[in-house]
Amino acid sequence: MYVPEGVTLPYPLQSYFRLNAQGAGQFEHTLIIVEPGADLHFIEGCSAPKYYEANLHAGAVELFVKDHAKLRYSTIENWSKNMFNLNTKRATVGADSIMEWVSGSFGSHVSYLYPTTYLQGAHSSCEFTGITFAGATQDLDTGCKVILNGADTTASVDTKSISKDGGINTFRSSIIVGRHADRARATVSCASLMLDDISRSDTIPAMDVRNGSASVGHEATIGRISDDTILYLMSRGCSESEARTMVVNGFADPVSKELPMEYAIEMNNLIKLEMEGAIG
Amino acid sequence: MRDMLERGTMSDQLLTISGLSAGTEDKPILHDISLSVGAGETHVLMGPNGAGKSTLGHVIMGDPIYQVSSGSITFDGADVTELGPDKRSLAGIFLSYQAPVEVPGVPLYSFLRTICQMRPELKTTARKFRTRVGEIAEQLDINQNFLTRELNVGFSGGEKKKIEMMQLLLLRPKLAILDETDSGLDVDALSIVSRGIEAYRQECDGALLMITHNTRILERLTVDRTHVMVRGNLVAEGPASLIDDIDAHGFARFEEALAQKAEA
Repeated sequence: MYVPEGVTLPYPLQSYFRLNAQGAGQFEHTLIIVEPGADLHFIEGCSAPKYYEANLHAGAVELFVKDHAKLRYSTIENWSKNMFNLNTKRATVGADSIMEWVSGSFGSHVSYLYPTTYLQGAHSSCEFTGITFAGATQDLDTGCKVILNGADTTASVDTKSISKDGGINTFRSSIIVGRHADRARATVSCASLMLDDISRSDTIPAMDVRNGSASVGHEATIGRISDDTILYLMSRGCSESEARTMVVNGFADPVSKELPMEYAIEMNNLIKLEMEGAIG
Repeated sequence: MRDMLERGTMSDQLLTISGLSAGTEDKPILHDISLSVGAGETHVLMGPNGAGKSTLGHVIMGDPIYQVSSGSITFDGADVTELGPDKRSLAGIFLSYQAPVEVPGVPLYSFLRTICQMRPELKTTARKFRTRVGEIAEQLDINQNFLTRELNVGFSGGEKKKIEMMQLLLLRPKLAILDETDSGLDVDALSIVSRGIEAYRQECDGALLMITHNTRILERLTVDRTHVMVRGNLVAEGPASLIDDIDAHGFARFEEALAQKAEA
């Protein structure tokens, strides 16, 4: 994908990956170059039917965002629950540019996914908004890595995870501020919602700050749905499962807001599907 | 006609609580409560702090934190003792909470739409619904931009109570239990909430069970019966004049009477 200098795409460009062969592996490679002054929103959707044999998806995504350019890369991933999803995503960003990641991970058996952004030029920014939903048999090890090398660069990472039925969510963030990144700023926030006592959620933040004028912050919260909330919604007529779905969709709302309407609806439907029968 | 006769023989009451004892797993709270509310009637439940008034409200709504050890709750001709709060809500019971919860990420307007659309009798077009919500917002002096905000998130105590009244007017329940809806409100908010209650009485002809300490909110309502609860027991029931009596003399004589009864 090549966006020439100064070109702004008025609509998101959509791609769709589907893996339709039992026991197969998919090794696609996405290369996007956004030339100076250009602007692109790229959407990647992934799904696969379930086979008896495990599948492997090992994609590579290379993104080059030049100066004064903007790229938003959105992913809604719903691989089947026996997929090994091992992805490598890298973005290199020039000066005065914006890299935005929006990532929703719902499927796969095991995921290793840590999109990485190199902010090389001054005054560039990276924003990462992500959500993962780990249900039974799922081990989703996700996160994000930002390397701030340019002066006055900023990184903002906001992730949410939902764990249920023994699902495992691990969130790893790595913020590296280089020696020359004067006044670089980074904030990482991670909110986890646990829907039962058998699931697991871990947050592993890492920070490597080599410039004294940089400011880096991290916050993590973990919570569950309170009985009072369920009672409140049920006493307005929602069934228990509707009440829980409503709360989880509300939790995911900051992420779905970042998606185009049809993808936001799709994501809410995925949550609804995941939540069905999730009482107790 | 036949339907009315049948219901008449069973009970003329909308809500009938008989011999109800309930509490949490390790603590009995309500003892042998019997109370009836007829359709369209206004009842007041009074009592000192910690008497169990809110617990009774929650038990009528079906809060699973409380277990019923004996007795029954009949609503609109059906035994609801074993039903969950959602089923009771759909049957026409409404509880306005002392501290309504905040639900992040759920816009107020879509929440209201959802809880109305799940009721066949309230199902309506998006346009009619918007009009109706607009009317109620005006009636209750609720700023339209609240409708796009997240349900109760960051709302003041008074705003939350107004939103409770808004749900009351939208859902048109047969019975509304108002658990200290008036507590902690300033004069203006109190008068708006009173307006909401009046509107509910007139527009929906609904029954009310008001749990309150504040007799001011009752001034504008015609009260049919007053119940007094002390330490989980209903110790007195009387006409509206009982409220003035309590206002003047407090709960001391009811507490003494209960103590004597316990000794005897």
